[in-house]
Amino acid sequence: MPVSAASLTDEELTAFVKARLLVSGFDLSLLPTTFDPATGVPTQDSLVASLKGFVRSTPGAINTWRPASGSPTDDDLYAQQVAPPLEYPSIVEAWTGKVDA
Amino acid sequence: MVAEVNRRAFLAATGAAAALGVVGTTEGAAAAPAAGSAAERAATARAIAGIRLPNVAVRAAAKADPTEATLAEAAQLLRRNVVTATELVSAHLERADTYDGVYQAFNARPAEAALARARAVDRGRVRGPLAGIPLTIKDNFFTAGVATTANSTIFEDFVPTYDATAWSRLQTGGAVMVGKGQMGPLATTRATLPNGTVTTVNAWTPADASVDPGGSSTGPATSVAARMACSSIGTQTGGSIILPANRQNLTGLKPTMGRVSLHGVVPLTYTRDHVGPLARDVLDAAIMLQVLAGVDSQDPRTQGLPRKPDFIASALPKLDRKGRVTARRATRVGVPEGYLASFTGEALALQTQALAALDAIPGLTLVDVTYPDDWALLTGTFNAVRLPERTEPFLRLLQQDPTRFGVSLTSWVQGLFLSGDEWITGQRAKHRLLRDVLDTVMADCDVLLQTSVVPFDILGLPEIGFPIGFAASSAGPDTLPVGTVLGGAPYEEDRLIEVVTAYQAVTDWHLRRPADPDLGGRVAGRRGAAPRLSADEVARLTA
Repeated sequence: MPVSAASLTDEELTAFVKARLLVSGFDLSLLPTTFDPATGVPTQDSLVASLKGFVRSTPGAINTWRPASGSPTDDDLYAQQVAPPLEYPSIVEAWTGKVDA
Repeated sequence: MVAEVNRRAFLAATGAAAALGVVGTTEGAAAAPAAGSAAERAATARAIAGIRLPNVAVRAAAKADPTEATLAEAAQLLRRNVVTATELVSAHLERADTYDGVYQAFNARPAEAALARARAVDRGRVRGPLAGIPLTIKDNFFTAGVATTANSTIFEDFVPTYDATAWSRLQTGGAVMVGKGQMGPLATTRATLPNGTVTTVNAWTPADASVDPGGSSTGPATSVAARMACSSIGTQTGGSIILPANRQNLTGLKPTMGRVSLHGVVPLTYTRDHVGPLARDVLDAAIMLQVLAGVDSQDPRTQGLPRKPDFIASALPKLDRKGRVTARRATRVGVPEGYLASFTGEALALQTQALAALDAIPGLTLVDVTYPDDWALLTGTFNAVRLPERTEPFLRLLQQDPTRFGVSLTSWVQGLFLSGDEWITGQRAKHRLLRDVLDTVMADCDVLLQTSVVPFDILGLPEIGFPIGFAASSAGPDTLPVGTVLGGAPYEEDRLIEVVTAYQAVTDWHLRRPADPDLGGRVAGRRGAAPRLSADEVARLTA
């Protein structure tokens, strides 16, 4: 059975979120502990709660998808150059001569 | 050829960050180089001066009130000396004086500068296809000497020393800026204060701030719908041109990535930010794009692309021998499986009518198309892959004082929670999605009705939003605009314009204007407490 963010306890997830913020130099204590109507910025707790939801739902859905087959299989292992990354797909389409001028 | 492609690919990968290094250090942005060489500016000026606007039949309503006029009509009234530029600009400024307390479409109104420029047009000192045309410029475009805040406290003191290329081109065409358009903070949602308090209302329901006016180019849309500007420009990262156009009975055109320079635009998401017009009809959108589009040495994404078509010619209705409106070219309109099932009630009826109207135009053919199996995943959850692109340029400020992001903070922090390998997977997914769209979904059609703005924003493909009728709102029956969206193949904005031109030649939704707000016998101001968006709502709704 593959592991995923779903395996994390709530405490582990909280610790992960706070650790990642620290690694990026983000000081959670700069946010208010109660709602501040002047800025509308999320409180420390609400931001952490939102980020926990993001971590539960999003990275795992992305990192388990593979270009060749849609899921991690040997097909992807043996198809290493399928779908090289494109930051600007429409521009690459033009630069590779596939657009009618 | 290979070396040339590789050079361009390298520029694309590295140039964007250098060209748009505006964030966190507004001092740095102010010190950025001015656009292009003298030779480039001269060539651009010659190209724009050569743009000719068509003669159009000016409606009686536009002759009676120049704020009613489309851009094409207004230009004709100016050419024939029916109105002066000063009169045209003054009329729009006066409406804003009267009504913008209710609409709150602007966050800066350089009225004196606008009038001075209009007078210069009247004296023949400013010429061009847009000479004297009053425009709203979204507040994330650098405007030399005029504050550019992106509606964020981050940029609250920022006054650029140079113009964004898009605004520079419009000025070269003679346009007059009547205001900086209010916007979602940092181009995230509908326009609010940085703390989430709603500002700009839908021009069709000014007494009900809860009605979504569309965002984040809310102010440009409301200003044009409310006849406080003749046309406008906005930006789109996740529907921010198309959606406000749809919700305020306008025609919004998001061109293909690279058609219009992003130089001097505060970035939200490098690979998905687009510049385009929010206009009164498709001809106006085509005129605006004709001026806006072009190569810019300051933005490598504009270079090496297909030739710019004649968008204005594409926006002129074509009649057959029997005098019937016909498509300029035979065009297959793709209808995704389940398209109508995604609507209910009045919207369903209007979308059904719109399909029938398109199908009845000679030369247009509706064809059924099917999405691939993982469409929902690649255009849904994978939408999050854009987030690190907004985090990275702002990281220093996130570290120093995250409260300056106000209600919009969450999505900037979410970008820290996707790893490098996940971001790369996202870029590979774009490749797959591009091939899915061009080789499968659009294999049997030329343009495609959109069930969401996200897929073509991810891919940088062109979209056009246009009005198809009205539904009920709190203001009564037939008061809430409903629109639809067509997407096209890369650099085929002209095809989209052709289809909508034919549609607007057989319908009149785009000619309708909202009633003026009830001022209650006094100078308008917002009555009652404005609603506000929470940080969680903004995180969910953000472009």
